Order: sequence, then C-alpha cells, then structure tokens
Amino acid sequence: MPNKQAHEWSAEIEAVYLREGREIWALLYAQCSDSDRAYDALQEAFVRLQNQEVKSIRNIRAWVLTVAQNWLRDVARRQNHAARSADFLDNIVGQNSDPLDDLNKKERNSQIRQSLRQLRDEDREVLVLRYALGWSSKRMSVALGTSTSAIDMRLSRARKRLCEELQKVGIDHETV
Amino acid sequence: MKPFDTSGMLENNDELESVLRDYFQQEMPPELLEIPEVSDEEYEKRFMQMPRPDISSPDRFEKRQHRQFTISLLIVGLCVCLMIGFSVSRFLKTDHVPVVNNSINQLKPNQPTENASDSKNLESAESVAVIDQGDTPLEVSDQKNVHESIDLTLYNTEHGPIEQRTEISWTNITFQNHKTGTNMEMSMPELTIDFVPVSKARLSLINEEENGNEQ
Repeated sequence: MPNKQAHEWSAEIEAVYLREGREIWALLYAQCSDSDRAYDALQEAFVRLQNQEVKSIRNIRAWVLTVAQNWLRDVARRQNHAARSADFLDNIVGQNSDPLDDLNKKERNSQIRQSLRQLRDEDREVLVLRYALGWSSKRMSVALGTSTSAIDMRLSRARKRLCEELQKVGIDHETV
Repeated sequence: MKPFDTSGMLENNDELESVLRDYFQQEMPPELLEIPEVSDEEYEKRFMQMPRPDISSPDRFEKRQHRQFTISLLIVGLCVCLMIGFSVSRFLKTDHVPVVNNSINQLKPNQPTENASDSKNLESAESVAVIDQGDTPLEVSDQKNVHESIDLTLYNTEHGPIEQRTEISWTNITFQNHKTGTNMEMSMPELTIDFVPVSKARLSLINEEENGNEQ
C-alpha cells in the first residue's frame, strides 16, 4: 500500500509539473530576471516536494511557488549578483550559427536582460506572462484577479518603461 | 527587418513584441518549452477549481496587507494618545490653575506709580484694567478667602523642630466703572508663610486648652 501511495504521489507531482511548470518558471523569472536561476528554483522546489508527505500539502502549486521563491531569496543573499553565467550560456546557444549573428544576439539579449532588471516586479510579471507564455489579456486577468482593461494598461505601461530602459542601454530607433 | 536589427524597435509595438517573444523563447529552458500550453477556457476552468486566492506571489500581498494594517494601527494609536494627552492637559489646567477673569495681567503691583495720584484715562474704550482713584468713582467689592490651601513642612534645626506653614488665600475683587458700565473681576493671591517651633506651638495650644477649661 505505501508503494502505491508513493507512486500516486509521484504521478501527481509530475502532472503538476507539466501543468504548472511553465507558469511557475515565468513567475520566478519575473522575480529574479535570470532564466537559469528561475529554472533551478523550480527544480529545487519539485525535488523538495518529492520528499514531502502526501497529506501535508493542500495546494501543491502554491507550495512549490513559495518554496521556489524562498530558494531564490536565499541564493540571492548568498551569491554575488555580479557573478553570472548567462553571457557564457548565450555563447553556447548559438555555437553552430553565424558568429556575427551570435554576437548580435548576445549583445541584444544582454541589453534586454539589463533593461528588464531595472523594471518593477509587477511590470516584469505581465511582460513575462505575455511574451514568455503567450497569455492573452483575458487569461492574465483571470490569473491576476483583475480586469482585462487593467491588464492592458499594465502591459502598456510596462512596455513604455521597458522602452525607456532600453534607450538608456543604447537601443533606440536610430540603432542599426 | 533583419534578425537582430533593433532599428524601429521602440517606435513600433509589434517590433518590440516580436523582439521580446524571441528573447523569452531563448530564455525559457528547452524542457519547459516542450510542455504543451492549455487553452484559455481550460485554464479558467481549472483555475476556478483550485483553492488559491491569487497567482502572483502570495506572500507579497500578505506583506502588503500586513503593512497596511500596521500603519492604520499606528495612526489610530497615535490619535488615541493625542486625544488622551489633550484631555489630561485640559483637565489639569482646569483643576490646578486658579481662574483669573479678564485682563488681570495688566494690573501689576510693580508698575511705576508716577500717575497713581491723578485721574487716569483709559487707554482705549475696551480697556478696563485701569483703576481710577480720582474723578471717576469705582465701586469695589471684595470677598475674601475664596480658596485656601495649607501646606505643612517640618524641619529639624539646631534649635529643635520647626514647622513651616504655608497658606494661600484668594480674594475676588469686582470693579464697576460707572463711566463705561463694565464690570471687572480679579483674583488676588495672598501667600503667608509662618515658621513656628513645634514645642512652642504645643505649649500655646496647651495654654489655650487650659484657658478654655478654666472658663
């Protein structure tokens, strides 16, 4: 019986991961602006979930999100913000493509990442949900508990602030 | 537009959105990219079934609510403290400060009395703080010992114990000026401090009692 219970628990965790993984990663990314770190936090939370007792958690999604967010905070406290491997990973991504394209991609991603970090969490949240997950305004309004028009307004303001930050790092309409 | 050309990116929302989508596609781990996305209707249906108040970080909202509650509590506490302080200060004022009517402060005994013997003119029509001792008659009525306070303090000296008696008596005086038809009340304190040796006082008391018995 315990084996059966453990098997059911694993199956449920896997289902939650497939169902909520992208969304939780997006929210974590909105918090830390670091793809790898957000993914590590997600993995860490699900590993810890595996070791939890079945009946001790009522809402798995909320539990995973909270654990992952706490993990992110702990890591942020311990690690130096300057030490980052994302630039190195950007180089790996485009190893088989044109070196000039890779260089351009690396530079542009770096500028966008830098600009996103300057935004508030609320702004990053709507941008990530819209452009990383491709959510509609209606779906975002359901998830964030607000109206569609409010979501559109937040998106518009977030884009505007992002443009201002992008201009600061050197991207403007005259950049070729 | 070239793949990584950023010209016009900030002028056109579509260009910006395209760049952001491309960026986030690269940022998202490949494993998560492979997970199929559910439709809006299915998500909404599932969202309604889940026991969660909000998608975005729950602790952030709890902290915000807690902060608002703390601030409101502090404001209410501050208001209550101010009200209590104000009430106490008013209560103390009315209890311990003797009431002095009108412009009593204008009557100062130490003021120069160069014109005291002559008739004084009022400085203004409303000024009633001038005591006219000359042509204009003033009716003065007084009532003594309105309020009395006694304080006893005992000192041990070389000549034996001495008792200090402090007595304050208030005298209410009412002035009526026939010319102006105004009444003015003032309270004048009278402070008496006596130093009496305790043994002598006892003796005098005993003597009084003896005299009373004889009678």
